[in-house]
Amino acid sequence: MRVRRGLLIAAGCFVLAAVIGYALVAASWTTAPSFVYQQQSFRSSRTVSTAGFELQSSTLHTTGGTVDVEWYDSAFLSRERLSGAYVSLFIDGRRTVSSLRGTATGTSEVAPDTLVWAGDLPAGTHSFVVRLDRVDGGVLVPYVPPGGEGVDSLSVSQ
Amino acid sequence: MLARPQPRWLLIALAVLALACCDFAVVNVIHQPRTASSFDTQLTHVAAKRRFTTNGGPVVLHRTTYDASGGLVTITWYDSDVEPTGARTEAVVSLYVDGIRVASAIKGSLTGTYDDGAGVLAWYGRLKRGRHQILVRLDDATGAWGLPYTDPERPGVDELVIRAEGNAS
Repeated sequence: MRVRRGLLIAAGCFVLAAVIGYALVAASWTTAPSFVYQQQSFRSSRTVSTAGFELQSSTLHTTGGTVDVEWYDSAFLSRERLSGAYVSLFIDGRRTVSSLRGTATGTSEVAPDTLVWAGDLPAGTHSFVVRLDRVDGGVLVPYVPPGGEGVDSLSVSQ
Repeated sequence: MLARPQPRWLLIALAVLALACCDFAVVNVIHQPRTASSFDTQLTHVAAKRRFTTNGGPVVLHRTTYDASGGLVTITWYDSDVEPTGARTEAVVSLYVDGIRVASAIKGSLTGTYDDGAGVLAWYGRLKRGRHQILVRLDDATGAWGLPYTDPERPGVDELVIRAEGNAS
């Protein structure tokens, strides 16, 4: 009878310890990084000739701390010579950073393009929007050659 | 009258707490999540046009000490608009880890200002546990270069991001 009671107490201790341990571990995992990644694939070029065009948008719930944002396009092409195009990142509606790409000759200067930003954001849900902020003579974003495939992506991670 | 707690129940409570702590420690060692502390970043936000030459020698763009937990890291230098000011010029930006040049990015220009665009230098490698000196330098440039060129209403950025990749090893 005494042995049975001792075994019951030991089992109870074990279950209780497991519950408390799980709660502690679950609480510690809430600090693990969160991220969002999205990618669009294109079988033909996407032509944009108006400023303000939204390339990517997403939201992410952060626990507060440093956030890393990266936009990537596989082939950025300006159609007009001696022109420029701005790509801007808006966080919670505020223009945070802008990347400029110029071209002297126009279409022959096609190349991958990227916009990178890292910085601190408070805890909460934040919106991330990447927009073409200026397009002098129109751009192809991405340019896709016949039979090819282009990508445009946004990743946000904490 | 309150009953005094029995020593046996105190022992049981202590045993439960000890076991729970063991659970916590073991699970965290086995499944070590990447926490915010493994992400280190140094930022330089530039609101106005900034131009450099290397006539007076190399120009330091970023210098920081990174306290590595040991393992793989990605070091990225990014500039929102590297702008040449003259035709047939080039600029070399290098990354130094503990005084050793580990990578260089070269941007050339045929025509000048309109050959501008984002500049990126990325290095991925293993760093031992401890403090490391990270340096990004404009090592060589013909003519003056905007790092970055910016419009007054559009903020540019020249930044260094150091990120630990996954668990320490």
